Amino acid sequence: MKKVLIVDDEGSFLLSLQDVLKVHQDKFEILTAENGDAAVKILRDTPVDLLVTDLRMPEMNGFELLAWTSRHQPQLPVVAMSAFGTPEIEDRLKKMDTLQFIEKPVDLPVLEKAIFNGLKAGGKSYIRGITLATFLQLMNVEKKNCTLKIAAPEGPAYLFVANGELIDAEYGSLKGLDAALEIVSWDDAEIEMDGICRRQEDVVNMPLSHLLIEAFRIKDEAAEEQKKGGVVPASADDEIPPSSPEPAQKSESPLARVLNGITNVQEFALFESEKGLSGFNNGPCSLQGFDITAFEEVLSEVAAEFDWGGYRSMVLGTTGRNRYVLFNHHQQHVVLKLKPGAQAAPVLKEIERVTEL
Amino acid sequence: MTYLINELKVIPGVLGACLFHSDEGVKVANLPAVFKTERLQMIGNHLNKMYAAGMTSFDVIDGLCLHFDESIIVARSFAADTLCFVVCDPAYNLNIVVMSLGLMQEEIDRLAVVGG
Repeated sequence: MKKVLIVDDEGSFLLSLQDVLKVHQDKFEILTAENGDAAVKILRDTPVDLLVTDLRMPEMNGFELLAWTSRHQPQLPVVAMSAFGTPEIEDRLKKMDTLQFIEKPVDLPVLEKAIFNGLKAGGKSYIRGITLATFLQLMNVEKKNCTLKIAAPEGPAYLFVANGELIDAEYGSLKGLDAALEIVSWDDAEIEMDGICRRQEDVVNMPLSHLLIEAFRIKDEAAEEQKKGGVVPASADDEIPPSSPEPAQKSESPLARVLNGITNVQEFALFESEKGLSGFNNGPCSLQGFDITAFEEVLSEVAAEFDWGGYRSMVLGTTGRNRYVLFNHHQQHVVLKLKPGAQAAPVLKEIERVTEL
Repeated sequence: MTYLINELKVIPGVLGACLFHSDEGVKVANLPAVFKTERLQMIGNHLNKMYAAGMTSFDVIDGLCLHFDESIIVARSFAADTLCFVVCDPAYNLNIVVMSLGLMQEEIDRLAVVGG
């Protein structure tokens, strides 16, 4: 017999649910708990097939319970209940395909349908416990404050949530928006929750919904890029021959050394106005034949005509997901090809920092 | 079309935007008066040239961002002959601007389908 655990702090609501759901007693058994702590005790001792939980509860609330399940029973299908949802949020959560969300006051046929869907899903991948993105969306619905610690290969990642919005993040050397974009799309996150937001400043400065869209776009494009990169040529004849076994002009200038050391720079080329190509990265470089003069001309016209202060850099986004960055360093014109998904601003900052040393 | 660029203007750090057609010039703009039509025309022409240069050197360009000390121009091509450029101050948020341009693209595509 399948078991459904319903968690809500209203005892009368639990009793009435138990009563009305008795009609399905041949299909599933109802277990109840009045807070997260009691629910965890049941989940530890009894195999449960579906968790239905309210989000606002005393002692251990629904979020803490969801965080616990993400660590200990990540495959457990979840139905979350909240009185603060909107059709838009519900729709957004449905699209995440990881948990079902129903509004309170609960409409019984809706709850029954959610229970049957959850039980049917079982360990199937389309409903498989809670993801970090879903968790954050729920936080957003409930306008929660908290700090989330997420287990990750390069040490723990931290997300700081204030009033339901993600305001700061940290993961290894990544901070702020970059860290947030990296972390929020993780699947199978093991979440630990601290009920206090331990940051005050909003450095991410982006609504959560926008942040999630952007993070998943980056993730999808990276996956696509990886897929493309992994394609093996159909035959040896299709392979593109390397341009030369050893680059003739491998640069050893200080700037080249700096650029070679920056992880997010995939390729670079250095040009001088009269001399042309003066250096490039270690390994293959597709930028050697780049025509800098076309840009140089237009950029100098723009700088001369408009009173916008000095020209700093130009970033070109491509459908291939690599960004190209052009900037000048002393007498050199620099062209960078960034790794797929890498943002230009942190790379430029790093270059600025290192070259100033 | 004006409402599309008006939505861009409400983003913090955005001074205004302009839809530019390579043959017909400025289609619509909501930048402060200091940006006269001739000036916008000139910016549009320069951006077109950069787009063209980018297309010959790189993969297909889907956006361009030009940084000066006091201003930033973010441009996106919506068709072979139309681009939208947004003039921002340095405190702008690139991700929101880029995302809004993406939404604008969707809206333009939708209008094209409805209209066609």
